[in-house]
Amino acid sequence: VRAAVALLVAAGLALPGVASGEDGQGDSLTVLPWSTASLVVSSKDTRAVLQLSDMTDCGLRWTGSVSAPLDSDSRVAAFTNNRELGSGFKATLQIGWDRDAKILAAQAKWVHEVEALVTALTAMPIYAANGRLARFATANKLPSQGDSAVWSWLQKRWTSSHATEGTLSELKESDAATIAAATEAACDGSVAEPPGCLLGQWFTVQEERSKTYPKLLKKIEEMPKDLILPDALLDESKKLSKAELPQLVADHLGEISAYLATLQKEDATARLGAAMVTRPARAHAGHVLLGDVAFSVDTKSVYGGDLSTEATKTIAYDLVLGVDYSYLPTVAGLSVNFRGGMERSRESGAEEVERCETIDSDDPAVSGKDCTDVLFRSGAQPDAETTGYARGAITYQLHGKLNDGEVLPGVELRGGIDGLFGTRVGNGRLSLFATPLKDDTAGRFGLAIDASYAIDRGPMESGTRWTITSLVFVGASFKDLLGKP
Amino acid sequence: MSAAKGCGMSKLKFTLRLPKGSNSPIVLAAGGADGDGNGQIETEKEVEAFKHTAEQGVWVREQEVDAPTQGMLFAVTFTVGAGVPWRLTIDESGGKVLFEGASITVFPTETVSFFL
Repeated sequence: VRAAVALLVAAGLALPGVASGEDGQGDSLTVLPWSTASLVVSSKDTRAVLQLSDMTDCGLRWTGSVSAPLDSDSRVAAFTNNRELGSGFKATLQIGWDRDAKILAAQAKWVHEVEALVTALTAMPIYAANGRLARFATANKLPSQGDSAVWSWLQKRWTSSHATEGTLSELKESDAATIAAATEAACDGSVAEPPGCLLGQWFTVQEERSKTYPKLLKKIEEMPKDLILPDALLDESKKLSKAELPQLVADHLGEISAYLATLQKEDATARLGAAMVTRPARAHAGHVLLGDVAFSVDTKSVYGGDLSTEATKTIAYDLVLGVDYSYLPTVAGLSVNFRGGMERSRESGAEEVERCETIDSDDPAVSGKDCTDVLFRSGAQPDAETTGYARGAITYQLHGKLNDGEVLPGVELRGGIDGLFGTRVGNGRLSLFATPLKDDTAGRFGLAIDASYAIDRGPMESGTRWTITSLVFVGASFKDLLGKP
Repeated sequence: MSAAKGCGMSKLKFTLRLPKGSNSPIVLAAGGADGDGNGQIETEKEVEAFKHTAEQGVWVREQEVDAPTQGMLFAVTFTVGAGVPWRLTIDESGGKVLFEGASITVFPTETVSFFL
């Protein structure tokens, strides 16, 4: 589990008095959530965020966060106030399943286990590497056919020396452990290297290999169905039958292992929120399905109907339930994301106005006024309403080798409709961003243009339907800043 | 020119043939010769995996050696399953056969070590 503290510090374009029911990633990019610890400066919002996120090897991904606006004077973000949720409090939870993460983790584990068994079986026994076996064969006039000849020689020797011992007259593999234990004692390190020592080691190796080989066979049977292979092997694998695939894997274990290591490195970078999980050159597309839950509440003092009366406390809230699906094509760096869900919200209905009090003066030629920005609502607070939303986004991030010092540029185009079944508003955003990588830190800076279009509006409403705003964001994620519990 | 005469490098070609195929879902083969002549087969250059060829049941590796090939130690280990007929040949560049051995495996993994 990774813990995160994020600060969103911003200028001007915050939306005071309006509860924000954005999805949990409204602060940044659709498929690149701020994860681990982040410091973000955005021109859209000003808030402190405490975030926890994790992606397990079994494919479970989740991100939870709570946030509150940062007070411009005190620089403090209050999550609670007088045992109530603080004004502008927001909580989000994303939980779901990443099919690729599960496949990748399973195959990486499998490959590492196969590698270990293969290494054990192909390791050169010391008695062969230092020539002791060769000298033994020469001394005993063996025809140099290795283990087969040694075994044949042993059987003959054993048979002749145990000919009168009934069942022990034939040397069997099951006797190997006993013989190994008995002959190992003859290893005294002398230059003469007595045959007993060699045979002890020889039996020990055979015994170890006899145990290792069945493990390898069992492991091969567990070969993942969706093999993740490098490009060069993919075409070759398609020409082979299922029974021939293990040999292909065995012949290219090193390449496959290195490729998986690259993908795992990409996953780690993705967990840092710096790069997308695209797994370039995959045999199949990736799928990530998440559920979104977001809740925000905003408590503000609002003047209702008359600016001369006392301001009253108005609570606005927003609850969002939705699904989030990412499709990861085989094109490196490309991701397509779809979101949809329902939103239950109640807005304050207030707008920011300038409230001025006249300052008395004895001289009629002199007057003054004391003005402050306040929230004002002409009528009653709007009723809560239930609406839907549908959003789509396509993101491309140029992928490098994810090494320190690399900068990964990207672009995202998103669009959608909010207020379905109610007052519909079309939204769009074009973002250009770049992510520099350094050790366990991933920075991100970008520029975005937001456009919204009022699809529905009342007969009395006039003016342009379009609203265009800009957004800049700068931030960084720090891996394991708060450690791993 | 042959390294056996002490005149520079020569290339060895190791060929493992399984005329009746293997008794294992995968075949592993690795090894080589004491190319530097230090009495040990221990470096990555000396111990290398064999590669499967287009020819069915044939695995090969090539090795450049600095030391004279005559009397050179070599060792090859291969996992093909038990009861599998095998043939190992070691040729020097030029086609001269330096070693040829054949047998049937007793254990799933076989090790052959001898002098050229």
